[in-house]
Amino acid sequence: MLIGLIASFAFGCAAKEKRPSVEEKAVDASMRGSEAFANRDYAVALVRFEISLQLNRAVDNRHGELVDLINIARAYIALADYQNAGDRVEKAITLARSLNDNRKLAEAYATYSKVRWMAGDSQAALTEINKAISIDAKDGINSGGLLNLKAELLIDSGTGAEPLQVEKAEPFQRAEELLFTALSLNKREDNAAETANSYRALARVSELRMKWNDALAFYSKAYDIDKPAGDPIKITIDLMGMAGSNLALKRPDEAVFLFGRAYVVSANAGLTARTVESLDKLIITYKEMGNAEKADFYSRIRDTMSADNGSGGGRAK
Amino acid sequence: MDRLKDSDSRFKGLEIKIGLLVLIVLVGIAFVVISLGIERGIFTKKYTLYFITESGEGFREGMPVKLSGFNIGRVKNIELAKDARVTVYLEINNKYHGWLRSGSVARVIKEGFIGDAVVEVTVGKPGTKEYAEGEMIPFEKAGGMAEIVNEVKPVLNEIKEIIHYINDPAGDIKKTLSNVQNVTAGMLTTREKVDSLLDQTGTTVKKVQGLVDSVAENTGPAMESTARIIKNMEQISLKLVPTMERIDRIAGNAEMATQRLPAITDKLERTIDNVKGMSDALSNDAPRIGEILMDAGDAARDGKALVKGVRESWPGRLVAPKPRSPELVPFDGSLMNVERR
Repeated sequence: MLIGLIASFAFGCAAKEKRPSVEEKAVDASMRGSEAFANRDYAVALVRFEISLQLNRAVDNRHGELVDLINIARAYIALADYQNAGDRVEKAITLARSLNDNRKLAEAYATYSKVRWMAGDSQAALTEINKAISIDAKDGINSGGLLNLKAELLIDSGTGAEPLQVEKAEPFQRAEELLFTALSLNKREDNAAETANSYRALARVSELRMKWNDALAFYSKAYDIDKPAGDPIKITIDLMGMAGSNLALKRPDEAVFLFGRAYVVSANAGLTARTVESLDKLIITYKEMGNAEKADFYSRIRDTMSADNGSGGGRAK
Repeated sequence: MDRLKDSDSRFKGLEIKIGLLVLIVLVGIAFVVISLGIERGIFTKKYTLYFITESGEGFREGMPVKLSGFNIGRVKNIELAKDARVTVYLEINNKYHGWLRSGSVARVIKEGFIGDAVVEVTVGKPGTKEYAEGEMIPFEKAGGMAEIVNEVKPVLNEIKEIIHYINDPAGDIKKTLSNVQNVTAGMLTTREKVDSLLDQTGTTVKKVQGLVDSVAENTGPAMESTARIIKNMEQISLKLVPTMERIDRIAGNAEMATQRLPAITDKLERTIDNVKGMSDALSNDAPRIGEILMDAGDAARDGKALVKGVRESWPGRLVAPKPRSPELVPFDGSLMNVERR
């Protein structure tokens, strides 16, 4: 009788098959959202992150909630909705501080930096990215992605120099230093996307310095990484960059070929602004080459697009 | 002179015989001649008509004259008039007089594709005056090869002009083709835009699908548990049937048991006395039962900790499922692909 009592106690402690908890469902939704984000399906990713957020809030899972808020903000950035992105990332910053989660706080500041830039406030964007970098630095972490963003903000400011600092000997030198540091970090961490971003930003610096051979080389390296990754926006930017460099190097035939490829990629990806930009380049280049027929041909396509869309739109670089 | 006299009986009447023979031959010849003449229409009555043509080319004396494929005469004579035109005289068999009336025309045709040329006359309008002897019949000029070539030449020239017109780069056709090409290119772009619209529609549909998924996710578990409850109830109701049967059996047995009750009661009393004796012995060990139960609880907790330790050690990690945690989506450090206000 005693043996039976002990045996039943021991078996009673054995794990039973249990139904998934709310937290596990939240994790599941979040992971499915990450999958959609990786497939550039940002609208679907947004819905799934929102579901995960609701579930995490329902059980007061603050760490999960923090991850969801940052992910939602990044999805909104991809959808060019900086207002909603800003709303979410501000909540994420507050929550990260309350949880003393420095890693997530740095990620939130980096995301917020992009939001401020999208809102047209470059100075605030620079402030936020510096906060993110300094938090990481305190923990001994160096992120190539954050350095890339800071360098691009400096380039965008027009001087490529830090505010209130003495200008370096060469324009955009500070930005260039940051980019080379980011490049080596990204290569070491095997982060292909950020490596391509570094190359692309370096190409931009070379363009601003009118060093066209360097610009072409950097854009080509970025293109070699972006093409297998399959992001049409970045591929288009790389092709346009290579085309512009070729044009500056008095190689119009290569330039029109690359502008043509940029047109094909952007048109098929539904990137209206970039399609119009590539068409404009094709028209101008063909006119300069004296090929009126081709210029005419692309002008007609351009006019048709303008008639359908109203305007080119978007940010052209 | 007597020696020259022929006295053989076979020579008697020889002159008559020869004469007869000659006569027969002559008659035969005459018969053949006349037959031939009749066959060739020599004795047929004929009348003459004529027509005038610009050129005597293709005409010859003796050329047949036909009506609806029947030979009705021949060309008798061809003469050159003072105005350099040609008069052709036709000798027509009287038998066909009735067909050649006002409205009949003469023309030259070829019999078959490469046959000889003949003069064909057509039947005149019924009820009209027949052509009389020596009257003129109108001549209808039918196209020979030269006429055909002359008719084709302007057509070929026109064709040349049309081809030139089509090939002219500054011409309407080329311009129209060029415009069609441009429209086609525009249509391709339109098609590309339609594709992108479809993509956007697809994205919107996916959005809606995502919302539907979320609703399904929220309601799914509730519906699943409802389904499970219903299933369980079904199983329970199925189990109830044999239970009811057992209850019936038990009720039957209970009846039997009550009949045996007095004997059982006696046995029970004896058993109770035995149990009392055992419980007295057990009560001496009662304090130890609580300790035993507590030890069992500790052992269970230790077992759980041991299992956890095994799971977290490297061999255990290989078989134990990894706990999942949500991750941040990658941060993109580029501004080039971002739209700005």
